[in-house]
Amino acid sequence: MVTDQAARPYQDEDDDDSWEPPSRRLSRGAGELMLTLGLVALLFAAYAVYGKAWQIEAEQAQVEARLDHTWAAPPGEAAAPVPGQPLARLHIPRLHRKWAVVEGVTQADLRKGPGHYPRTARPGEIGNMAVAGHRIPSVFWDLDRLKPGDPIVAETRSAWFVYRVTSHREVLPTAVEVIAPTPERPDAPPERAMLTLTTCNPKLQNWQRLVVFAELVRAQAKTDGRPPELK
Amino acid sequence: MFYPWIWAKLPGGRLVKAVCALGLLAAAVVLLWYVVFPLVDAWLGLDEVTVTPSPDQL
Repeated sequence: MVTDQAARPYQDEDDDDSWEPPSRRLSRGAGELMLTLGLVALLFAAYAVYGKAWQIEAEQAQVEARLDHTWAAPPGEAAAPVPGQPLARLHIPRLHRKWAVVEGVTQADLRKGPGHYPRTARPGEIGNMAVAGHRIPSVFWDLDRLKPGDPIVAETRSAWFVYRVTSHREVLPTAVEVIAPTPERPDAPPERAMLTLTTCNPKLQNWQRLVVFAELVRAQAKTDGRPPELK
Repeated sequence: MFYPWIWAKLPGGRLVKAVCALGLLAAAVVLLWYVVFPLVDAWLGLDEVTVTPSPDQL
């Protein structure tokens, strides 16, 4: 820097804070501002993808531990699911993922992992067990990679329920019929045991919902070991 | 404009200034990551993943 100054006499102006043409001060300030905003935007993108994923992973670890703890204790009377508390575990072998699913789909519930829509069926029940999750790497990021026939296994205290994917759809956020007991005919009484997963679509945007439908094919008691789908 | 001004205000020699600058940078990142971004994220509504009735369906 010091040797440069001899070769470039105008450098002195830059180093001397006493005077600088106002236009240059202004453009320098604008440049700094834009660079800063650009870096902040990049940092926000990193937060939206990884920051939230890390937070959810940390919360999931706690919820998983609580679920194990609950299941280890002797079963009490069959109580209704408590909002914010884990009620089942969900395995998706194709995505090499499993989560403890909490009851409820408020923002606070979904910060812990996938959430079970209140008043929809519970694992294995006739009706539609609907689960929502964030479209972020530690939750439902790759949900679009599920193919028809892929197993989704719901695990409760006493049983495994093996569902198989039947189809997926992209719908508007107001399409509440997808979590109805029979999604094709929202007014019909429930007749099959279904599982529906919802997340946002496209990735990192929110104007659609990606919906994956699955249907129960088999139930297996925990005493009969793990289902072959999870091996 | 802004950064040279901050640099000039930082105390000490180059090394101390550099350490202080890093500290300021880290503080700014922490503030953004833990305070500003969660608020912006909630405001943008990018984390809506549920199907909900539209107002006229309610």
